Amino acid sequence: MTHATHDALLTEAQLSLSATRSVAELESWHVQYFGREQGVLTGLLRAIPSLPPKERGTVGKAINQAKQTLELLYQKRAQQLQHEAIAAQLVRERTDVTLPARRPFKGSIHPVMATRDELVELFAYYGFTVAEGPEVEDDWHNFTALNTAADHPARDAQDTFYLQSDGPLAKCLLRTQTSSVQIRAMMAQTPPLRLIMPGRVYRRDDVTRRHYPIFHQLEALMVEPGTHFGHLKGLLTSLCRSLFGEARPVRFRPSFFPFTEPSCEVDVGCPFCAGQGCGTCSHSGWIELGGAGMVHPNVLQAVGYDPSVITGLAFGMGIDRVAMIRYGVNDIRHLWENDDRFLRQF
Amino acid sequence: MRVPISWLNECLSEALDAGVIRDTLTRIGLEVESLAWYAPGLETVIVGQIVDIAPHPNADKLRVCQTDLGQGQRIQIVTGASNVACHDKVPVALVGSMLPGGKAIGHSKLRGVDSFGMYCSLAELGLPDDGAGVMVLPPDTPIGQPIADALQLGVQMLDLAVTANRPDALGVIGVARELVVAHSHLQLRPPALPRLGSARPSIEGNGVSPIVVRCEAEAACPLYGGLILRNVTPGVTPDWLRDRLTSIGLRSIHIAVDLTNYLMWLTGQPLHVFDADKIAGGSVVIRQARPGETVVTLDGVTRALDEQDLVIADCEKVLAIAGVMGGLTAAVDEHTKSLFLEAAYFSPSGVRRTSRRLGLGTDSSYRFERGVDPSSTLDVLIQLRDGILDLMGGEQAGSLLRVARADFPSSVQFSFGLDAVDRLLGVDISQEEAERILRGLGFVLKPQTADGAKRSVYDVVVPGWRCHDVSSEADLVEEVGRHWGYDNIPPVLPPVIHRPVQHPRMVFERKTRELLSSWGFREVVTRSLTTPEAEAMAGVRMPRYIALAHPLKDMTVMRSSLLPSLLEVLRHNRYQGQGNMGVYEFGRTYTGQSDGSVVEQLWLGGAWTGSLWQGMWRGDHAPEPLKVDWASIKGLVESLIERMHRRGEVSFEAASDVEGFHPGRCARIRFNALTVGVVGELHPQVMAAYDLNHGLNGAAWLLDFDLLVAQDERPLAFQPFSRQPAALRDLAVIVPESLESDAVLGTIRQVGGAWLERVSLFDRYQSEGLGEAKVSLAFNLSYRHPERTLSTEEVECLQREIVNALTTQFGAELRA
Repeated sequence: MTHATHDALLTEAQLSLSATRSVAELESWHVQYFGREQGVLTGLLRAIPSLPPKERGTVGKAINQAKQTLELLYQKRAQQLQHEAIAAQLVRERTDVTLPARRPFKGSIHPVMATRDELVELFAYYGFTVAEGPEVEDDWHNFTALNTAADHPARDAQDTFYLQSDGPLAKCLLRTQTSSVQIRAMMAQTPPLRLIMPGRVYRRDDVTRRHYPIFHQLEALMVEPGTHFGHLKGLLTSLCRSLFGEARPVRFRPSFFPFTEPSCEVDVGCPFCAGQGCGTCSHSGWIELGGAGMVHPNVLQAVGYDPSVITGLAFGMGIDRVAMIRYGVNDIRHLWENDDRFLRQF
Repeated sequence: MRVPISWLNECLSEALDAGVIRDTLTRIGLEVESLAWYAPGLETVIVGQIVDIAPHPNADKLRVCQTDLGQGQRIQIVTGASNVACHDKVPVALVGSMLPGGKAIGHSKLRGVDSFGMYCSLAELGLPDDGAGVMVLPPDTPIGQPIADALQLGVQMLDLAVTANRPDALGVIGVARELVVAHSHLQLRPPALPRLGSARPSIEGNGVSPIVVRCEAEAACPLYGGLILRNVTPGVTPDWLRDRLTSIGLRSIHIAVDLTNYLMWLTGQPLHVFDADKIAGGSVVIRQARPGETVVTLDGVTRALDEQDLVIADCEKVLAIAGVMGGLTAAVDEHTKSLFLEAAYFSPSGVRRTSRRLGLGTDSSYRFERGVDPSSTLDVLIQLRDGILDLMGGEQAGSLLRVARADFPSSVQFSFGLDAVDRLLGVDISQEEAERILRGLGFVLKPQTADGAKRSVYDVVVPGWRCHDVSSEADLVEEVGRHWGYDNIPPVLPPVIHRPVQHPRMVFERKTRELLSSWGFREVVTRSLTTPEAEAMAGVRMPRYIALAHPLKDMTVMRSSLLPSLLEVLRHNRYQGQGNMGVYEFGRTYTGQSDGSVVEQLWLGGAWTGSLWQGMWRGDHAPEPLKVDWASIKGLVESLIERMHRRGEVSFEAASDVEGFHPGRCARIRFNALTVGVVGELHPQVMAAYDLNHGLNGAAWLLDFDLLVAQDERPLAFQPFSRQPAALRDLAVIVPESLESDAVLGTIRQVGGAWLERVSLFDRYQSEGLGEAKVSLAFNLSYRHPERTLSTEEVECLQREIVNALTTQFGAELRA
């Protein structure tokens, strides 16, 4: 092989290499020159033994040199083509990333249940554990043991759901307060007791903006020697701060419940008018959170405790109401309608 | 209880500001619901703003105005007034108003245009007229405010929400007494009735009483007082008395009746007057009504009585329903010459029963139900007598007729130690302050001789007006506490004595909530009261419902399944244009057992319609929308149970008999040997019943949550894993279509043994080419040894053994 043919071969190979436009073209170029069977360079190398011995060295060297050069160029070209291909892919694949996503639906937790969980957790910090009881309750646990007189209006069939039965459920009802669980818990356990009792309760109200015949209550009970009204204020003040923030005012207003003495209502500043007075708070600037008090001596006696030795505090609050105050929901029916536009906000 | 501020101040030695009274009363436990200006006739006249004025189409002198009443309320009013302009604020009398001048406002059509109220002039509000037409209010008057408040018309009125234990606060004097204790510089000054100066007759009166009183029901009426006045002359109720009654919303009827109402409002003791000449036979009997007896009450309604109703009767007829309302037959009128005055103590439960039964609540029954002060009943009767004699003249005939049970009223007495205050309130209140409060409220305290006690102990006598409420130490602690001020009791956190313990189910509920919500589900809260019909819509049928004796609409029984209410939620939202939705609820079901007991069970139920993903728009390379199906919901349940970390295996068992579910696409969820719930697609019929069958798929699950949580917890302990390379193989077999894939997988796992790390189905394929009722199942298998690399021979050997086993057991053929 002469230098001239060698150079011509090299030039031609380089030209055709740079003319390749795709990986496929590049590969067929590689086969053309390096192929084991038909490759031009392979053919040249294979022809060496037929050359005169003194030319073999030079020619061999030249071919190998050309091979090395071309291999290098080939790899460069391969890299280049790959870059080009990726660049083209990137251009081709460019998309409008502001198109809507495909994603799981955004779930939500019902505000009443979220509030209940939070209350349970807050009380846990103070050593209160959860106790539960039946919603289908008897008259004794729901009323009698809670010091409710036999002819108390709360027992009226106008206000309480009694069951239709002439059998064992005849005097049974849907509990009107979670306080019935207090009685069950106190009879089953001995002091010291710190319990919270969340659950559904029922009152025979018509459905309105502020009333629903089913709602959720949370009852707390602490029965230990030395328990006093200051503890009640301490727990509830702390709880309200956690729930509604440091700035929300809390007040304790004397009131009446058959099962506590002394009794009070706990009010928090109305969130809808910042205490200025509005339709939701009946222009008082306050919203009732729940009722509380020291467990009535008659109740302690009913469950077999000695009121001269032990004292207790109890309070009950509407979980629905707490949720409504926290989130500014002004119609209780939202909580039961389960409209997506309501639920998605929580 | 409505109390005019001015009346209250009349009972105090020094007048208090209305705002101070309001705040004080609420602070000491007499909750003030409102303090507002009250002017009779203006109750439904409020401030409105004219927001649009248009000419009347059929009348030149009328204009059609739109009025903003606040809180989003707007009404149309046609007015003839020419002096109002757009944006003016004016007094608006709403439909139903009866203005002070007597003008009634109704819905009207003025020349064909609806009008829902009237703009008022000064004269129409009962004020001196200025001739300017409709009154235009200052621009800063709040819209929606009652006009009485805006203009401070009438009297300032407190509305008290008196709790059931405080009948003493149902009289103005009782409320004033509380204020006197709260403001120690004040004294109580009950107003005296104006007197004409004649000498008071003694209660013995003169001569023999022409009427005798007999009580046949001592339990229901332990105390009854009667008095006869003769030769009274009818006259006009004096202005002061009429004004007082008007201010509390009562109408003047007859001097004697007006006086009873006045005294009732002042003292809390209801009274009654009869025309003595209409009482037949010279006797008044207090007795139970007789079967079939009726009475026409003062409101003109004929009332049927039963044997538990207490009545006041003469020898012929019922004169009054005791404590509730008088009858027409013996009512006083302008011709009345003789009066029979009544003051009594009727038992609260009896009056409550009758009042409820008849649906007849009166100012009188309201007070008797809560308990009047038996110690002052007869005093008030004497006051009534004096007032009538003053205003109507006449004289007392015979002596006071007093019929009382021997032991009545008995005073309430007990021993009270101040240490009870410290113990229950956790504060140290001085002896002087405690005594001042209790004595101010009327309690008689007699210190017991000191026996070395740190705090004083007293014998306490409860005043008659608190005898229904106060009977023990704790009651007095409340009295001291509320007047000393709940605000003054320092809040203290209780000491930590327990290790806080979490309720295991609550913890799992909370976790599950987070989990399901992050999977796109919305938690809902639905009614636990429903109807059998509503449950049947979801295919749920119960033989024994827990039914309510007095149901409400749509709420007659306790639910036995969560499924119907979940589907109702989906239906509601589909109607709102939200067909893609997954919801879940933690809720109880209630089922009656054959032994009469009730089982309440906590379920986690969920229902799902539409597509799995949000944002399924179509376009280049966008995948087909994935719809909810049995496999997706089954996967959800599997993951959920796995996350609960119970000890055991979850499996699924075909179930074709579950109410509400697709019989061919439903499974019972098994955990160890227990059935813990069901999962599957919804029955097409149920989907249709809830109007969810419009191209939507629907699936649901119900999990017995308590049962699952009750299973032993799987301890979380790290398991080392192999770092040797895995050998991956595929395997496709043709099996009968009826064969459950679980069986095939089971055999593969069993034969594969410990080295078979994982096997999963990746293709299920059916075609005629496979043969009649055949299906091809293709699996990915991954083999791995814990300590060394598996040889190809070992893996191939296992693969062959698996195929052999499948062939032997199920007649499977290896697919090429």
